[in-house]
Amino acid sequence: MNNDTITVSNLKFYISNLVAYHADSLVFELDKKHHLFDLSQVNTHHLTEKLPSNVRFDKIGFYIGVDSLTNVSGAIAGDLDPTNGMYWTWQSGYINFKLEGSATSCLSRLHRFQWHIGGYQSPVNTLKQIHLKLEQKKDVDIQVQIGDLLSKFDLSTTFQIMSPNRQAVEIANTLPEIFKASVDAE
Amino acid sequence: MRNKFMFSIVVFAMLSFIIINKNHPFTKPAHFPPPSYDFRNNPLDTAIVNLGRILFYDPILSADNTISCASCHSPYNAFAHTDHDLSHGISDSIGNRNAPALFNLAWQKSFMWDGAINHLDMQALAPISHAKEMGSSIEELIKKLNDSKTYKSLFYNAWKDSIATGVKVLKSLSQFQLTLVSSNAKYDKVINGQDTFTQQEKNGYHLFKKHCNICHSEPLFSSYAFENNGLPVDPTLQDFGRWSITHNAQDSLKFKVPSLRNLSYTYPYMHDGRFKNLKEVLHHYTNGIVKSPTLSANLVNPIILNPNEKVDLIAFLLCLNDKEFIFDKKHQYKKSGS
Repeated sequence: MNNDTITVSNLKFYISNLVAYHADSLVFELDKKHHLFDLSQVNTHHLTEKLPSNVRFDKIGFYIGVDSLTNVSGAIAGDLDPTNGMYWTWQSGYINFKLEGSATSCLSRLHRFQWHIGGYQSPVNTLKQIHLKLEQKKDVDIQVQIGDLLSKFDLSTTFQIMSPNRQAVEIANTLPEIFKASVDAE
Repeated sequence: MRNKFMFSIVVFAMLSFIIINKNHPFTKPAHFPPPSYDFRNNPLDTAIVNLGRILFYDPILSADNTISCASCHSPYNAFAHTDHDLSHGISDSIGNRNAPALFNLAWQKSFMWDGAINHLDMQALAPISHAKEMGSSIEELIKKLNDSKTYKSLFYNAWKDSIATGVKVLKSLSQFQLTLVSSNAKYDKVINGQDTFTQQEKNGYHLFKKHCNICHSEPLFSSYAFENNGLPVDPTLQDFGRWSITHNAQDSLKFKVPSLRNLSYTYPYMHDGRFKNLKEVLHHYTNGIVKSPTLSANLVNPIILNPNEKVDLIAFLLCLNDKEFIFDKKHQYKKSGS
């Protein structure tokens, strides 16, 4: 645990291929294949889809990041548009998960940290699948526990990740642990 | 009755194919393999090609409106940058590599000397944002384009929507570059039965097939694979090529094999422009190969050429110059209004 004062200034990530299961069989696939979540844009915090009335689910699955086929498919409009700050220009590929901010422990200029997690080719594959068991409701809330993620890494040494590399893989491997289905305190 | 009906469908399909092909800005040369670019995601359209062409020659792409794509990719040099070993960009910055020639891009699966870019549509992002090339960003460029009256109408004509977006800019630039097809060199005319090689060129062709064709494969004159061609590392550049992308030791010192087409227009040669002329290049292959673990398997055995053979080989290589391509007006600068 970093004994740190941490400020998050930017959080963006892709949610891809969201599906729902009932008793482990696939019952539903979201039409929108790639959704860009942006902490600073409240309208991106919701994914709305009308489900057929007979659909029952007890688990959802999705990926954090953009699959390799999409990564090699050229320019795509909308959430995948390369003007969204989630595409590397010097080496092709999407940034799957971007977290920026500052922390007192960071040994960088202005104590900044920049985690741009991407890489779609083995051995640096940072696309992560997540499965969450949950209760079916009108609104399913998913929490992203950024504090948990930051506490697993030493920001004094892990503060600048901007290419597909070993550190990016380590952080990507941690991502499935920080997505949680909210349990209502009823 | 049933058979007759099916026949009429076939005829209709063939007719429509011919009509589409006639006005199409891209036609596959008969002796070329099928292109790698997936045109279904970006079907060529003359108005979009036109927009791409105007963007290609417009320095609006750079931060201070001084550098266009054509600054380093000049049409008269087969879209390379003759006389400069390393490319130079904004504020007289000097880059690390020689600007490659641009043609037959539809047949290439990766771009840049190290293959850093995986799709033609995404290629332009690199020079636009590189601090030593155009020093701008796609976001900044979009803002400038949307502030321009001229571009509003160009985007409307091309895309039926006057608003510039990243995808439209990138696909327009791709469309223009896809039309840069070089397939009318003397070599092509011989292959198509419209010309014949001299005896010296024939000898050179024979030597080419023996020593060069595995990497610089006909008819594109490149396999577009990554190979280490035995160049000593320039200590001032320390460029390890493909390795810097994959971090795989097997890729160390490998660079994308360039096409030999239009070679008289694209000097100097190699990824860092170290050789000024073809004589120096041939001397490297016969006398200068540096052995290392990643050296191309095709260069392990020495290439031996006597002076006469070198002259013959060069005579053949000159048959790869495509003058029609170099001076084709439809690839050249066009004022946005015209």
